[in-house]
Amino acid sequence: MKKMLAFCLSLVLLLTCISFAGAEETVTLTVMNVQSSEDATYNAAVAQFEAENPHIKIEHISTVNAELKKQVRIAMLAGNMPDVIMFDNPDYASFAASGYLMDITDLVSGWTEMPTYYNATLSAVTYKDRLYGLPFESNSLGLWYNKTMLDSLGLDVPTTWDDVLAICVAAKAQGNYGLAIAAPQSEVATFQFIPWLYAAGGSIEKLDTPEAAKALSFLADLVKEGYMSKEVLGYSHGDLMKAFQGGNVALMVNGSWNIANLAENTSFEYGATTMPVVTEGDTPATCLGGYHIGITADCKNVDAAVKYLKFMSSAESNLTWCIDKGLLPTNAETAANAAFTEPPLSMFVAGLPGAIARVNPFWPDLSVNVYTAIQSALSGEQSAEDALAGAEALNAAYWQY
Amino acid sequence: MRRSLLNSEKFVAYTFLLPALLFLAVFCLYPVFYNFIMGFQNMDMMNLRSGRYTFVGFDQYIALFLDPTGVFPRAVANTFTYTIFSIIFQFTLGFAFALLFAKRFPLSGFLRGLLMLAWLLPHTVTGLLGKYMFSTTGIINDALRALGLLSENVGWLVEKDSALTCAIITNIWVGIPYNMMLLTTGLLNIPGDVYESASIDGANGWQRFSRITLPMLKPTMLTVVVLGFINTFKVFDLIYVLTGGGPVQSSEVLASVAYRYSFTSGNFSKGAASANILFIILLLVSIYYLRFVKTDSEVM
Repeated sequence: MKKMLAFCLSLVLLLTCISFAGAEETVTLTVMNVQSSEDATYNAAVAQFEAENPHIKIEHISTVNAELKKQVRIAMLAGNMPDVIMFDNPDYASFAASGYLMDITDLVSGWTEMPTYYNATLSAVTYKDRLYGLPFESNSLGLWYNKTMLDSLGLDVPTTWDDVLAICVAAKAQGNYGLAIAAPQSEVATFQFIPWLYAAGGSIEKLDTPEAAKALSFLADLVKEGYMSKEVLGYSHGDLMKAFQGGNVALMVNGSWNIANLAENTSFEYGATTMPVVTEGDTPATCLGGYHIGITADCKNVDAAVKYLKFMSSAESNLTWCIDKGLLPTNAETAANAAFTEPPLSMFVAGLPGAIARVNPFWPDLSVNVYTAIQSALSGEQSAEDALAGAEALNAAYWQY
Repeated sequence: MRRSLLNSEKFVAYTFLLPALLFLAVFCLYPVFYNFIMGFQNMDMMNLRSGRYTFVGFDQYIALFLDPTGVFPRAVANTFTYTIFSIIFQFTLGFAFALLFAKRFPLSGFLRGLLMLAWLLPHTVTGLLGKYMFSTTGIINDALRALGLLSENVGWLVEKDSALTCAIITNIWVGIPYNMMLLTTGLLNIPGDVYESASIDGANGWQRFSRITLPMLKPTMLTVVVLGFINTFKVFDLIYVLTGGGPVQSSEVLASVAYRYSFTSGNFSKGAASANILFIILLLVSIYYLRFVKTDSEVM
């Protein structure tokens, strides 16, 4: 009798094991990003992903732009990193270098969508020739103009720095500002300076060059001559937008993400064009922004995480996402959609293949020195040359990684 | 022996104390202790995961003060400037208001309540208000121009020489009600008959203020100043919203520098070292305060 009972029990146990092995076990992925928990577009994408992959459940840890980095650092110190994480472009390399992100090069190598990504967006998630994530969304800077004001000045949409200067002179004569940028004491200033730096032929990797000085002194002179308000030293992208919508600035360097806001709250005619170039015919330069998604090194459910990454970064998801948010494609396939071939978006998309990605494991540190130099020159405290030489002395070592 | 220990009143008392002690140890002492350890290490983003950080003694502290950009010494100086000027004006103005509201006059209660509003606002809201008021097109410029003190608008927050001053002025504005409230309470605690008998003895208004009000208010005044110092010295949110530490790092304070090292650059040990310096300064002030409170209560 006892033997019989033992046999039955073991049979039951065996059967349960088999039945468990048969159905795929449900796995939960924790995903930390900057999407609000009420973001309808994001939630719809997650719902679709979960419907297609019934055994994967997404646990969303929502935070905001300014908090993300802090939350991730706290998770690192506390040792409870989420499975999938979203990072802003300038921080990506430092997280890849820290070892907290998984090298996914081999996990996505055969994926059919890989070849469609822009080199620029892929370079943003590449560290030492290995891939540490997939591009999720892009953004970049363009030149927005107040069409009503340009018409009243009798000037055309600018293409060169000289055009910008001409607009500045004419706008000042009418009591307005010619240009507005955002140059606060933060990464924003570096992001805004890079297009000017590369247009002048300079490079962020070596700042004590005549080209870099040309770019910075061009902007510093605009402030000095009263063509650009000194307030730009305190502007965020949002403040910049409000200043432009106030109607007394002819030109503004800002991103495509403002399209909806501009359409709703602007009382004059406006448009966007590519960043100005030094000489007619040059290729406009712009800085790549945007978030990327990666898998953390200790993630237990790598297969599920890779599925999530591929789903969210696919051309199809990217299209819905970018159209809804006024953001830019990460790949050529999405960019070919009619939504991106008309101005103003086409002006931003045009710059993407050659956009400058901010890749350096010490970017947050070196950027401090760059934006301090920008502020120093724009506030008139130091000449552009001196400010940049100071930054270069501090930054040279960071490029030896 | 063992029984008597268990039964002793002291043992029972300590058992009751245990949860509180444990709470303090876990949530107050441990983080401080851990932060001190971190300040002596070279922990950053690059070696956190591998665990290959080591003890480097006072290197982080030395590096902070020898920083080629000079941002740390400037932050220390700024924090002291910010605190001292804030306290001086908050205290004197708060005291003046307390004396005013110690008198009963029509609407005095309503006006005092109105003054308290500023204090109820979160610092970030105050920061945003300050940002609009001090901006080139803000109300401060309008007011100064209307008074003929200014010929053209100034970007107060983006000028290196005035950014920190703007932060101090904003902080004084929010700090006045706090000082006023505590000092009013102190004033109300001075018995009225002391003044009465002084009047009978022929003391004039100034004598009553300097010989009665000031000495009897001394404990309250010291508490207000010390607590105000501790609150002000830790400033972070107001500066973060108002100037972000700029322009050109001219309004960086200790807490904003510590935040930047820890959370922007991921240089955890440097951030910890900066925070520790902030902590030690406040600890010294607190010890002084506690000793004062102790001797004072013995006298009373």
